[in-house]
Amino acid sequence: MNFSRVLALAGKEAREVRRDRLYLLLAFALPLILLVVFAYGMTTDVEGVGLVVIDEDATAASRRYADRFQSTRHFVPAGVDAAAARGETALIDGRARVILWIGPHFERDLNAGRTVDVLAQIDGAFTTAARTIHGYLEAINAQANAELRAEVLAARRGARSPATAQLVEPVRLQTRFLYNPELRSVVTVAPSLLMLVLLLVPPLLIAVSVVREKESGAIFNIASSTVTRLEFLLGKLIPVVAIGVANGLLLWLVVILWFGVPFRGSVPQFALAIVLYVLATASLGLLVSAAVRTQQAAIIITTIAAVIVAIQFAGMFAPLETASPFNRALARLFPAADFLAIVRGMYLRGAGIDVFWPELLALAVYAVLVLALAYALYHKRTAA
Amino acid sequence: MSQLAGRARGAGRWLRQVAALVVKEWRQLLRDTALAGFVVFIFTVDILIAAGAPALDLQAAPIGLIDRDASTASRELAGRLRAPYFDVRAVADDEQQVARALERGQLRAVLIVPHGFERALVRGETAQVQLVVEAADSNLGYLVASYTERILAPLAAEFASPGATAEALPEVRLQTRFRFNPALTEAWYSTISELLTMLTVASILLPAAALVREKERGTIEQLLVSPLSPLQIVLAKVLAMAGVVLIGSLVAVGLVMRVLLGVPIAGSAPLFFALVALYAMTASGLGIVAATYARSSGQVGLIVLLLVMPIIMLSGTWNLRESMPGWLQAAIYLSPLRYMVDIAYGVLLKGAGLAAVAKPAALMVLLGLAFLALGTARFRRQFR
Repeated sequence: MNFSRVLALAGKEAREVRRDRLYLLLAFALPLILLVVFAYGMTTDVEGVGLVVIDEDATAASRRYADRFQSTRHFVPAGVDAAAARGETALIDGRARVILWIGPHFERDLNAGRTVDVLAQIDGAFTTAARTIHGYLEAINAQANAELRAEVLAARRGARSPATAQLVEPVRLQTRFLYNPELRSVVTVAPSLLMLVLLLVPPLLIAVSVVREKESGAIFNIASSTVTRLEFLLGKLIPVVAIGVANGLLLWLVVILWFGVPFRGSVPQFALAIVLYVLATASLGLLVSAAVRTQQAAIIITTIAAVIVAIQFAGMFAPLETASPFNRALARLFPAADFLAIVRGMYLRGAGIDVFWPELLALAVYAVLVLALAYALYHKRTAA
Repeated sequence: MSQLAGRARGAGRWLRQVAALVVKEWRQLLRDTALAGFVVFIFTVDILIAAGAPALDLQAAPIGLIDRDASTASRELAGRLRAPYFDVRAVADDEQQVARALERGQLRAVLIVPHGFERALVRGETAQVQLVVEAADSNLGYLVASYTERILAPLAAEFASPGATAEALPEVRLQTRFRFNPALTEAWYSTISELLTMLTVASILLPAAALVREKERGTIEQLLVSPLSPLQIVLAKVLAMAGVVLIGSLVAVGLVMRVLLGVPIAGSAPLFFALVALYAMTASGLGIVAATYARSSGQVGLIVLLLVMPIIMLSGTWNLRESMPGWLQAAIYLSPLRYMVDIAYGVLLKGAGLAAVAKPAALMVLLGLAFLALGTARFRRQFR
């Protein structure tokens, strides 16, 4: 292998990229735009969820109970008349996600010290949201009960009695959240987007640049020259990895400065992780480019593959350990899960290379293996 | 009369020309084996994979237990936190070691039962328990806290001294039902969301890439000097890809989801597929608009990514639309998928009829017509 030839090829790529203004703009603007839009949009907070209350009791107590739900930021009244709610059309057409049914005699039964049932119907179609919504409903209900009991007992025997305290709250669970004390969704989502964006952009850039030469026939110039396969592939890889790493560093800064997610790890160690990850994803792009003949196919396959991997095999939306064993095995075929573990561990929890060296090593080995595979699949004389 | 017949003949020829172009598109797709194979993949294997997707739920979440009380009551409490949600294991009472385990991600939380827990219960005081949650993943952190709270509540009531429990205290019991997916089976949700994602990517990317390829190769000039109008060329691309996507969804829903995975189809299948066809045309229109802004395939890939990624991630398939900031909620009205999400979940899972989905369907068609008009107008301007 001749390094000056690799550099010459890389320089040619860089010149081509520089000449295509729109492409250059997109290669840097796209990752940034995706990061910002997703960090705001892929929030996992449950806020402003439509709620309908069917209050058959219509007393002061029932209204107060219903208000506890509607006055939080989690739920808003869906503005649906009771008839539509009763027929569940509000749940079916998506105007509301929760219907809360308070039966008659709510106030009377509570005043008599009885247990009253309230029915919450949650739209289960979106399972993930349904679970979180359930959690909030339970928490609000528990709060309501605690206050209810406190009031009744205070009225019966005075608030100062210790037994009253226990009846109101026998066990108090004090919860402290580490690394994200306010449970802000953006703290989880924004750093994780590094995984997604760097999985999308470098493979696309590299696959298109290789396949464009295949389609236009320019690749025959390479084939008939003294440039070897490896030199050609490295010449393609180096500029894209450079763009990808630059993107990664830029996104990292934006996550810290714009989204205010504190970085707790070591800067050089995390930078190393970004370089290894971009190498791995760009190599995947090379692999795709070896397998396809048209740019159309290259774009579609790299995009869809990135989407599938990010959603199914990275653990971005949900922890991988809940996936089926087959899917967990498939996830090992992609670098996203390792990198996400590094992001969560190094970026958010401040762990170092002493903890995450297996993941970093896995990324490096992965990049080398995929490059080798692309090398084996790529022939100077293609049928194209 | 003869004028009418002539016009009918003209329309017939116009349609035949479009049909010929549609066949040409299909041939091209079939010849691109990598791409054709990938289209088959996304409507079959990929949907199967999505059925094993990870769920945002706790499954044997590793919880460390530090029991400083070592009493009957504390053991009872620890015993309640169990499978399938939790995997509670005793850990050494060593702050450093516990912090390391949380940092590594080996423990999701640590439950600390302080000294004097049982004594407090016996005395009728509120007993304290501490839960330290690793919340780098804010969603999981919330679930750990919320599930623990829910498990402890009834236990706490049992702990309250026997004399006191005899006293009748009011309680509101929240009965929760999940409608449309009572057991919150993840596959019902994830397969539909995956299908919608793939439908969208394919419908936007296939025609966009096909159009840009013609531009790049110059074959578009050949089409334009032929007796074909720009509308015919655009329409042929839209119809060809919509046809592919419709057949793909028939296989995905009818065979993979219904037969192989047992996802219940609550509503009318003809209604669903008719709307899928409309959706595919709408999304294809957007792809055509995108293609008119690009000169090369590399550019169209990046432009489309800029459109497709927010559309598939923020339209309600993988996120809670109503929790997004207002400006994003407004922007997402331009996403055809926003309407298709309501339609697909409505018809497939909730059994919605035409009346319930008429509004999103109408808005979607309007959007589609706007895209098609804009795409054709821009296309015509570029080549005249």
